[in-house]
Amino acid sequence: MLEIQIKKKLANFQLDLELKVGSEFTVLLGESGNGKSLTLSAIAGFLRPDKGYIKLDGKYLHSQAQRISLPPEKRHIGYVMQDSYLFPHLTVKKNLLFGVKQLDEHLLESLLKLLDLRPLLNRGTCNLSGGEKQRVSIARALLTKPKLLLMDEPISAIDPKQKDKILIYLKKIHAAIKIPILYVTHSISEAEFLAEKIAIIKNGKIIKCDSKANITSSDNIFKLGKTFINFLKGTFCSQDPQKGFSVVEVANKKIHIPYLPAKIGEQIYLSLPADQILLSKSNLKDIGSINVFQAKVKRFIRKSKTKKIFLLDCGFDIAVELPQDDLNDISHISIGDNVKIVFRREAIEIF
Amino acid sequence: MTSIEFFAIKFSILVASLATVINLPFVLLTAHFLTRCKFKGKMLFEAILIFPLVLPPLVTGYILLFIFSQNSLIGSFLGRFGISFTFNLPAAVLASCVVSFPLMLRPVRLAMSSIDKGYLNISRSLGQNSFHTFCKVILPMSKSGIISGAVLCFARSIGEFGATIMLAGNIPYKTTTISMAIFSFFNSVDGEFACFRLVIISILISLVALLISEYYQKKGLKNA
Repeated sequence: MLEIQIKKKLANFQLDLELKVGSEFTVLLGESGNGKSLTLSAIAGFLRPDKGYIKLDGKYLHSQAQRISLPPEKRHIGYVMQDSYLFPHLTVKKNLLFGVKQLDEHLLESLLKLLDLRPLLNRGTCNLSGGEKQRVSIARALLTKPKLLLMDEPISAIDPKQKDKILIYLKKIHAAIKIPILYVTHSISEAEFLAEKIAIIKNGKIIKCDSKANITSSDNIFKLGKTFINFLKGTFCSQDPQKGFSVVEVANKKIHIPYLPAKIGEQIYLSLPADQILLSKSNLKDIGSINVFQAKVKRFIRKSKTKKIFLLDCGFDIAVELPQDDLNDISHISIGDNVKIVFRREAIEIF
Repeated sequence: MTSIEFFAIKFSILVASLATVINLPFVLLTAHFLTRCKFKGKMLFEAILIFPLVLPPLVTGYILLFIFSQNSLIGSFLGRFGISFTFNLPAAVLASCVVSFPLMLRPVRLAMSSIDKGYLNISRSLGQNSFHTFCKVILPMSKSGIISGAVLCFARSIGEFGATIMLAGNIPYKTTTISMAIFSFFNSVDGEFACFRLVIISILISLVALLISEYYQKKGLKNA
């Protein structure tokens, strides 16, 4: 169990963090510049917090009060970064064994199998692809038998095809080795795929930390800060570079998105903020730059003085957030009503 | 070739080799310290280290003589233990070490500073302490810079004249280096051919050293 309660002031940024990580796969989710990597640096021992403590399995790694600060090499924490940082003067095999004091043959064998590393063993590191490098880097970190594995956006520098493979490898590893993992990302799709627990970080603070099931309202709806985000997985259908749009099919619905050069049939992840969707009872037509779909109101998710959030079904679950002013304009909406949902293609973000 | 020419070549190679070997650990530690540490007065410290590069070698030799002559505080202290740094082999080595130190430091420092800090962090996270990280990561990854620096140091020591003649003198069969022999033959009536031979040997040694240094510097840049 990892317990963190730290404060660190940097030039224009304040990290003020409280987090507990158990044996589950925990994803630290947030946008760039919110302190995700700083958090990992502090846990690994590369950044000294001004106040607070970091505890792993009941042992202090850092404590301001007790004047303890273990150096990184004594923390028993594996670290996989965005860049694989394989030592260029060593072969893959020597990279794997770097830092291993007592080799666990069984662990080595299972990692070679899990990550398909056997064919790479005697190769130099310069000729490996990004995905291969990152697989070696993950195995190298695990071979030292760390008590915790930190992963700082490990697949963000890899091409999209390799990304999916690595995500699957990570799932396999966590299932097989049962090591607590703290995984940092800004990608909702990665979080959705990997996490058992999600901690959302914003401006250096954890604003929410709970199991994935409790953070997401539905399988494809996440709450990020105060906004609900619809997360959609679709298949790429067509593109029109001249008109500047592409089409992705999600649950038999064709959604227009900003132009994206991709291959037909490729899986695409989309995010659509709930506050970017409007409801209409009039008979609007899909005109390309605006997506219009027939939907049925399933339930209210949340209601406040200023806004109301609905869950609708339009072939897939979608959350819609409407300000009270708009609600006054639309005549009474009840559960079971048929409405039109409307959103601009520019409101969609592609992962 | 005359025996004094042979002696000059052998003595120069011996002095240059010793200067390179002695300088190496100091250069590695200094380069590592300068690359990884931040402190007040770092610029001044660096300026002092590279000072012999811009100082006339005769002035460097004069300062060394001032510090290590038997009348000086340090010289007389060392003299009590039978150690002398004037007009002998150690004096020639010391002069070469001081003059070639900055020349060796530069490529080594460049190579070390081009190593991404991520490699060092990863090494530490894999259980290696600072010393092991230095030996297992920094040194092998700076190999090109180290070889390049060592070759430059050797070549500079082979050609060293000003500081060496001040501190070690030009004593035949004792402290005569190639440069000193060239100087002596040039000033003698019948030394023209001997002077020419030593000039050619000097040029060849310098050229080979420069080529090796360039090769490793380029290799280092490719790997960076």
